[in-house]
Amino acid sequence: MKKKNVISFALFIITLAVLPHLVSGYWQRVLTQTFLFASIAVGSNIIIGYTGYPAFGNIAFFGVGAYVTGVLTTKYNMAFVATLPFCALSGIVLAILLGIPILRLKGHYFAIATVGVMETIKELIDNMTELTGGGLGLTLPIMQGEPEHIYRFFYYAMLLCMLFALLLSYVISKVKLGYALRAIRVDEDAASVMGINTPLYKTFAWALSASAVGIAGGIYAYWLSYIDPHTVFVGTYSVKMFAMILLGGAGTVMGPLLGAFTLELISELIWSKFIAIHGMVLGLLIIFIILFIPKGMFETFKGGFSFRKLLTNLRENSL
Amino acid sequence: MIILQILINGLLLGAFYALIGIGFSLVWGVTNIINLSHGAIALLGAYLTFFLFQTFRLDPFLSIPVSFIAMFSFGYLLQRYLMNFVVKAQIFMLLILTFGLEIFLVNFMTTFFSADFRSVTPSYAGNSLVLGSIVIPYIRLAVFSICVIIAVAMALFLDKTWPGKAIKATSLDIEASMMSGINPAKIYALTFALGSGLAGVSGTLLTLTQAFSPSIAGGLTLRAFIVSILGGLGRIEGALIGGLLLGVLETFSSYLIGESYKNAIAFGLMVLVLIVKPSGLMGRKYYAEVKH
Amino acid sequence: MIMLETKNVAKNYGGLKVLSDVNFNVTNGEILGIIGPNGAGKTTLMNMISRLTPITGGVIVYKGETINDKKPYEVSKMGISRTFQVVKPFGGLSVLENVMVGAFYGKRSVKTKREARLAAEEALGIVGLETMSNKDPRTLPLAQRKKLEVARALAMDPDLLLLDEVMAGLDARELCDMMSEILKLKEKGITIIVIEHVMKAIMGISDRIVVLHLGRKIFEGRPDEVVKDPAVIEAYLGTKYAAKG
Repeated sequence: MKKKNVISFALFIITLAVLPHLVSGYWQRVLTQTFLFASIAVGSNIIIGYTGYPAFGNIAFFGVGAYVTGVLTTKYNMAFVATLPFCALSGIVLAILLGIPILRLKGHYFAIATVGVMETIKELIDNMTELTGGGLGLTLPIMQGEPEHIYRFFYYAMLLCMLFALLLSYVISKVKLGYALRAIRVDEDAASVMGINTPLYKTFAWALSASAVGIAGGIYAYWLSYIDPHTVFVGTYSVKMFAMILLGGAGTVMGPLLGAFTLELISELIWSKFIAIHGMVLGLLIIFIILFIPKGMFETFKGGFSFRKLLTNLRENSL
Repeated sequence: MIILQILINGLLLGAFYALIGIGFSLVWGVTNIINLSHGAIALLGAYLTFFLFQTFRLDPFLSIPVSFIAMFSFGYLLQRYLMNFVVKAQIFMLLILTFGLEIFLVNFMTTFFSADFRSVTPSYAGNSLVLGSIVIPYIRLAVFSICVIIAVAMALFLDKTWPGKAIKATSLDIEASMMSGINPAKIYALTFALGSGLAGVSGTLLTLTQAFSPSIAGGLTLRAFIVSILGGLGRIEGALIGGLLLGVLETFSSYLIGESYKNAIAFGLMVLVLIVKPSGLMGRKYYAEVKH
Repeated sequence: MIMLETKNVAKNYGGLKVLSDVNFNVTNGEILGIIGPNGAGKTTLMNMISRLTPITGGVIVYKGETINDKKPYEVSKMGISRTFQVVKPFGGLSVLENVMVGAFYGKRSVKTKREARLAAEEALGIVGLETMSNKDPRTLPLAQRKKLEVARALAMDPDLLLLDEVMAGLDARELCDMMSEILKLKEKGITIIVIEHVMKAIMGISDRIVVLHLGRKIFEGRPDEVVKDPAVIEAYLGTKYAAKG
């Protein structure tokens, strides 16, 4: 990293660290939510951006992580923090088990298979009433303390989760593994003849990605203190996550983070003004990103903003 | 006897799945667009039928052509002025674009048509054909017949007519078809329009057989997807068999294991087929697949 | 000593026979040229040696070991490197980083970035791309992209290098340049198989030549013998006439 980048990143983190003491509970909640999406986007970027496997159903690991925390805290009286390693582990194990068959698929087929997996897991959890409460959901132990204290607790927990995902993503981009993943993204055959054990590395990448997403799910469950299959296996989250990755720039370390901040804050501004049509605006926003800035805002607007740059993508990708 | 009744119910349901799958599969096979808003477009057709029935007492069966033409035009515009700008981008861009469209349409319908479940019940809704202990509602029988007739008509259209042949040629080899004077942009738009038109028709038929709300859009799309996977891309007869298979499987698994595992079994089957035979149970490779 | 040997190698796609009963060998330090008109099965053969394509019949023996059941990443660790006919550099990585991937994962398999960079710089130096290190490979002209392919394969520290049409599409000067590069590699002790469908390019550098036609070996011998062989002449002229008709 360049010195300038290190400094601005440090400033960014320091600002986020002191912010809860300056802003209202509402903004703390908004930011916590933003960190949540940033964690998911940055974590998922490892398989989607670096490796080029569009894991549309990556939210499956989020849901499973949420249920791991839910079940462990309610049925086994485990402390919340102690459940988080299990959230990561659940993602890793699941990604390895699923990765062996599914990562052989490519493109559309892989994308939809992951959606199928997500829906299947969702329905299984829905039916495992004994353990998960099924459709009735699961009520987690509520954290004790002042509301202000609780707000800050989740703010910092989610911030740490986001930093964990970022660190993971940064380290991968710098070490040997990162080169293998980017080679796989461009041309799997070429990567393979260069000595890269493609099935192994793809699975490894997915497992790492799943661990970060799983932890985010665990924190989310405790934050919400109530989960049911529909609140943690959300198709819309998948799309949002994809839009964030694309908006910021897939395959870069900071891109998904900035994409998450941009989209989530825009979304929040819209939410407060047009509650009724929020969903429609979100849909339009996603369409806009895909049409005009699919390469990410930094790549697209390198050297300044202009409307002409917006239109180049349209021309390049149309028939 | 109950087994036979379940089988019949499954086939009746399956023909509807086939119809929703045909349009989806055709679009996917020819243009390589996985249209995640397919279910939402079908629901637009359903609401059109619902409002025509409510306002003008138009018989739902008579609104089939209305739905078809309306959604055909809508689909044509969508492809021409939206999808077409992304067709050459990475495949998951299109996936997200159509999902964005789905989110938009579903929320549009929720906002303007409400999230309530609706249904259309013409006066003859309760009549059934009774054969011993087997009961077949006339409406379901009619829906089944229409689905099969449309499937056959589509197959004939693709095999016998000039535009149909052009669609097939484009799906097999886009470069070669361009050299023989076919404009792929027009073919893509036509294909997408046809797919949407068929979705509209299936929406109309949906109103007759079950209650609907904007929230079921995703479920419809996923069923269309499973049908396409089972049958192989862009193949009418494949979609028909895939649809019937899915219908029978769903009704049987509901009976044997329980309603609540219906989706898990359908999705599980889909993932299994994807892993074992990605070209579908009776599929062969289409141009769009070979390219990517 | 024989480095690579194919015994009755065959390839079928369904009922279509792409290769049948192909036998040849390459000895240490040699340059073997494989030529043949389009559709002769050259690239399929190369894909089989690098283990991208399943082998339908026969065996391929490398350094005394059968490699039929090996994966591409396994044989590359054993010292087989190759280039691709259609050049696909890893976009998003610079020229240097592209070559580093080879050093990280080929037979060399270095652990640290420093070692990988050193190996990559050396490989780029050999092909004369050292000044391009920081460029985006997608912006390079064809001749340089082909050299990048060679550098990537070299960084893997190969014993056997398969060059798939690295000379096709180059102009006269670039061709000369590439030919001398390949001879330089031979001097370093690397065994090389060169595949081309242009005869001329391959004559000057090969020690021996194998000619494939419609999936069969129709000739094997020294370059000066090839041009006189009636079967080879017919194969090339025949297809030429067929193309005209």
